[in-house]
Amino acid sequence: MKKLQGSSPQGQNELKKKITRRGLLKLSAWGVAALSMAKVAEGVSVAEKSLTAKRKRLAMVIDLQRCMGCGACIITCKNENNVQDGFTWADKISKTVGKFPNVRYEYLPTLCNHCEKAPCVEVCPTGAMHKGDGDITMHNPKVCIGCKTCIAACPYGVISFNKKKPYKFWKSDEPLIKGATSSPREVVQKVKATAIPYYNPDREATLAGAGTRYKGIVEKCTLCDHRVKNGKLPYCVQRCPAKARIFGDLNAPNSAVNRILGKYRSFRLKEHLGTKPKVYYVRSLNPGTYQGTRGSV
Amino acid sequence: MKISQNKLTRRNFLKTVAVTGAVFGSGFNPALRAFAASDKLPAVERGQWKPTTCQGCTSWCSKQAYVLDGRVIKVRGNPNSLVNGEASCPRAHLSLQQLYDPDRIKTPMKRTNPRKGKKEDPGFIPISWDEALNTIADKIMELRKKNETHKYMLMRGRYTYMRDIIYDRMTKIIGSPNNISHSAICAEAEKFGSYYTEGYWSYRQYDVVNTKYIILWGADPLAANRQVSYYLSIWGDVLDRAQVAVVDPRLSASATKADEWLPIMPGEDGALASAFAHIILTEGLWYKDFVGDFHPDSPIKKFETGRTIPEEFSTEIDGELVKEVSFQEKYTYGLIKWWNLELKDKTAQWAAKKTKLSAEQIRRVAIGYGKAAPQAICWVGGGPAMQVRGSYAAMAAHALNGLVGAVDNVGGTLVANKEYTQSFPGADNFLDNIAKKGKKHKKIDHRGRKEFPALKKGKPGSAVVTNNAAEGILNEDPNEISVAIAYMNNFAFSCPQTERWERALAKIPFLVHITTHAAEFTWFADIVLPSTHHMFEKWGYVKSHANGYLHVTLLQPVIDPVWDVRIDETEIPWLIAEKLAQRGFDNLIRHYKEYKDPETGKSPTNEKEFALYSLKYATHKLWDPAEYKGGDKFSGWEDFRAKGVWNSGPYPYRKRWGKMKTKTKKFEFYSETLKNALAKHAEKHNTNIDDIMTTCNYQARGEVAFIPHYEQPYTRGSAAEYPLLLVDYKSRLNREGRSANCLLYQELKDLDPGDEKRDDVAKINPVDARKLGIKTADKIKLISPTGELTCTAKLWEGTRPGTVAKCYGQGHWAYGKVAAGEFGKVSRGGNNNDIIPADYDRLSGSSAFYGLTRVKIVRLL
Amino acid sequence: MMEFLPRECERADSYKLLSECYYLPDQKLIRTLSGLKESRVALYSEITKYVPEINEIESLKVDYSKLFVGPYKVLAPPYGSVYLEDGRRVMTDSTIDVKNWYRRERLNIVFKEAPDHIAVELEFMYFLIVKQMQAVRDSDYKGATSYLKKQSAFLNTHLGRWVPVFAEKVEKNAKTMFYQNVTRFTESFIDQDSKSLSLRLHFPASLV
Repeated sequence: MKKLQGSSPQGQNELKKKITRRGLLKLSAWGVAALSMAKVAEGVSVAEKSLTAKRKRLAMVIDLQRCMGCGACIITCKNENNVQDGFTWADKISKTVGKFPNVRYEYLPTLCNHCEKAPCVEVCPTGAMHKGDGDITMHNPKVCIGCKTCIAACPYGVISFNKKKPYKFWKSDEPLIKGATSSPREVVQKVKATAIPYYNPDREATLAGAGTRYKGIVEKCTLCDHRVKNGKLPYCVQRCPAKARIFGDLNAPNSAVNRILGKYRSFRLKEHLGTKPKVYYVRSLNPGTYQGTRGSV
Repeated sequence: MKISQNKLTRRNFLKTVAVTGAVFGSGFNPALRAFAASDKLPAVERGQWKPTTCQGCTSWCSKQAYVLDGRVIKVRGNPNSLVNGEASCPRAHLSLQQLYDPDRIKTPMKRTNPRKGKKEDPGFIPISWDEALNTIADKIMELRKKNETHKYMLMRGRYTYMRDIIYDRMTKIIGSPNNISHSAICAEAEKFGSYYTEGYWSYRQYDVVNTKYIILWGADPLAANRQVSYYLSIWGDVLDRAQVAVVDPRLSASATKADEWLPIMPGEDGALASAFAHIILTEGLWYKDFVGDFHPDSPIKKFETGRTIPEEFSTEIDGELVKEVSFQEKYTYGLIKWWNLELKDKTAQWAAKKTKLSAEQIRRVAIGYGKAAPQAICWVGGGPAMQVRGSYAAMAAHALNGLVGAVDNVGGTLVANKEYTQSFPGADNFLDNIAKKGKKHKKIDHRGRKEFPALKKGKPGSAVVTNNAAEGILNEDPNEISVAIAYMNNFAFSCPQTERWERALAKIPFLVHITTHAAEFTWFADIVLPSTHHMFEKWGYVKSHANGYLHVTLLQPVIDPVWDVRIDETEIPWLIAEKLAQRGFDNLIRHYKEYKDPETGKSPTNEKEFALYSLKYATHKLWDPAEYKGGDKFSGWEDFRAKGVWNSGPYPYRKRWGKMKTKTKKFEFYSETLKNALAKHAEKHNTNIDDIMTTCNYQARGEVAFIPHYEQPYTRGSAAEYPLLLVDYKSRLNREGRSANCLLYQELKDLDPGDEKRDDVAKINPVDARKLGIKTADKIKLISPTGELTCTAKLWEGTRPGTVAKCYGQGHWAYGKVAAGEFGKVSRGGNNNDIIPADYDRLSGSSAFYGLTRVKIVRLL
Repeated sequence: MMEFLPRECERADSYKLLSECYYLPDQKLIRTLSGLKESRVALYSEITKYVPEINEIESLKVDYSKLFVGPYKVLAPPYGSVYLEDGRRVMTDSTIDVKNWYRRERLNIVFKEAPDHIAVELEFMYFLIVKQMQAVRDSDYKGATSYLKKQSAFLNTHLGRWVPVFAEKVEKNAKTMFYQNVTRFTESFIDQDSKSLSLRLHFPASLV
């Protein structure tokens, strides 16, 4: 048995070069499978390829006139991504302003802005926070060390840290009425789910195959990259009953987001910080009229 | 073939490769048999979207549930529905936390503690279905043997249109008059307004996409009832074309997006409506194509404040004096009478004093509304209607639709489109003498008594007076109730003055509760039967309308039931019927066997078949092409079931003009229909209508009783001692009263404007709060003459001064671990019904929730 | 280095071969196995010791059905969940967990059986080893190590945990020497491989 030289990197390349047909036959002398040099295209779908190939800049426009402040986006995002009780990936800022009866309600749906100049990415020591395909600000749980520097750097407060084991509610064994009701843990086991009864396995497609999170790592919105890479809209966009969230590629000249951003003046949160956020807001929650007047002296 | 190491040649090798598959693969390319390698990302949504229906509120949306590996993971609107499409309001998603709620009852239970009371733990233990059903059947048979079947009572809560199986047929065949529904704690008084004007006793739909002005009267379609999913989906566009004015003492969700917020004093809606009508008429803005106009020869040609208009005038034709009507009405009736009796003095200034709104805003809204005619909607919600004198307020607000010609018109208020479901087989042939006799007794809720006209559809005594059934039980008037079955209700939480139900239920010797959770009502039960979750485990159907369409949508089991549960309205009555037959009383099971599968003609042989066949029976004309009558067409039952929903044809605008179900067939401003109904009721009690008005606590006398008019709000308690009026309302996350045990409800409660996460707040205007020395986050008690509740104070500018706004839905002391503070002992938050008195709008039988409760606030130290 | 590849190939092929033995026997299997009778690879020659002639396939089929299929009492259910108690698995059922393993490797199950059927789990091991070899070929040593770790973990949490009890059942109930033998070697092969993996992972130098 001839020993091929070295296990060094050069040695490996040598190895590769030297696996010729003759070399193969020699291997097979040991009754071993023929080794072919067939390359398997690994895990890159058509959709994924096109996300990288044309360098998309995925963004979201939120039309405040269509937004009713109903919160379906917040809830359905939690549903899709198995976000635990107490955490949100999509959220809102709301307040009541003015003095009765001249009062208005302000409501702004919020989410990770997938900044082009993302502070969380810049400070992450391990590269867990990184810019992924489509310019999504993506997280890799495998290399996250939970240092929380990203949370400190993010001006929008959209990152959450798992200080404790998540899904605590569903770990309890206590039934309400012994023998007649179940316990949280029993429900999860009965329906053969992971962590929560309505666990969504779709979330495993990316995020390092993790459909749930665990103690010691951070988490945040990934623009439903697992859906986007499969040609589907982010879940909040799909589930908003009012079609108030519009998704698209800023690099595609005639995308819906560009059409709307061309037509309407928009604002983004904390633009002055230079993060170049990609969540834009247009129009007004309350476009109402008022009686024309010149006022008075 | 043998492999020889020494004799390995290229040929041998290749053959080896071929035969063994080298072995089983070509090196780096795995040859898989059990697997298929996907060189793509795992697909998402590999499961199935299965059709069903949501009953989180009475929008009754058609939905689809996403099922994978036998679990429901998410929900969305059913794209096949023309009413709601794929859009879904937020509350629908909380259904997952209900379905998989660990506090759901998974097996029948029986009570072991013989004492009943709020403080008496029932000591429930699990039992078998067999034991539970046997016990129930024995109790019913006892009644039959003693000829006391009228002491049986059925209480109905959340229903589908399978309801008559348990609510009507079973009650009748057992032989009792006491089927008591929950409708009077819903919004029946709203229906009064539309019935006694346009002859329609039901909820309306609104053609908002074609309208120019919407006035919401105590209705909040962006948060609660009706067809929230649809209105959320189009309201953004509606705002581009229409002005919206919201009449509500609090800044509701709809008010946050409105042009005008009219923060009215509770109970004064009738005043505002009368003033609106006055202004529309004096400004000449009524819609002439519907209402008509002054006779061209009439000496009076316009409406002027304070001026009575004679109904007729004399004119000379060919030397003869002829009487002509001053105003020639087209599709309406009684306009001049209405003006003379009620409207002529109701100016904006007058209304401003009552409503505490500005006269300027009142005029502005009235004129804006009038100018938009006929595309001008008055949307009457529960707010003005579910009050002590609410029937007339509902009439007054709805009558405006008649003035502007919006009734049945493009951009106006519409009724339900025609549909073709059918009733179940009748019970008459299955009533034995015991049943016939038992049925003849008077009902436990006293509907039809002098003080409860309950005038549903013009017939005295035909509307339920739900909350008064407690009185009947407590006083054994007309008789005691010995055996009661109740399903998917929680009257000890959802009815005003809850403690009456606690006492009444404690009195019933044998009470069965069919429920998903051990709620307040369950605390008094002897047997508890676990029910299916309506959205994922049940067969049924309901109807809803919006967008100019009506849909009939199926509730379907999309997964195997999580626990050992049965369907409330079909499977359980069948199982009871079987037990009764075993005891010699087979009328009920024989009746149920009439519900044959229209496809096969087969009678059901068990409860599962019954649940399905009865549904196919009721919806037969919708799915069977041989029976086709209109709307969507299907190739058969399976086609219908797969799509999940049947849509009606488009709305036939103006078809009802001149053909309304009123006495005059016209839109009545002077209601001959109501006059007739009141006369019947008065006659039944050997008295006159004025006496009825006095007895029922209305101010109207004489002919005012027949017209939409202003009645002063009736409140309990002195203004001095109880300075604030309670404004109750419903959350956009309420699934009727059932969301409080969902984690999402608590976590996102601040989606209701002004409310707070994980808390139950009473919102007080800062001006009032300062006077009372209350600050945000103070723990307080709201105390009324009826009772008290504990909650947290919140200063909020969206609350009308003089009122305190607090959401309904929390304050459970049972139901579940999350909903209650300490299950069975301490409540979490405060239940508004603890402080709302049991009072009624007696003309409709409705419970009053709004406008009547005066409270004081006490800070807890 | 070159010693590594053939060794891994052998491992991979062994798992694959064993996996094939747990499908309903057909002529193709008999032929394949017969062809390996004289193999120098110890496992192959051992497993194929009792391979019958093609015309004796019926007895094999009968034994297979009685042991693994039914229709009456299944004498040796070839599914992990039957033997694994879920007590240790805090959140997930073992069946769900094994499905998650496959999903993470982007594998869809096309075999109409439960995901923890022994043929499937054995083929999964084969797959993981091939992925490891691919990684080595691509000089992705981190990836290769990761696959080695996965192999070890999979044996420790699934296949390796239940095969001994399963093997016991087969040995007790099998009528043919073929299945007795195959299963016995399945058990010992897995045991040996598991130990070897632990050693290799403990002493990284010996990985490649």
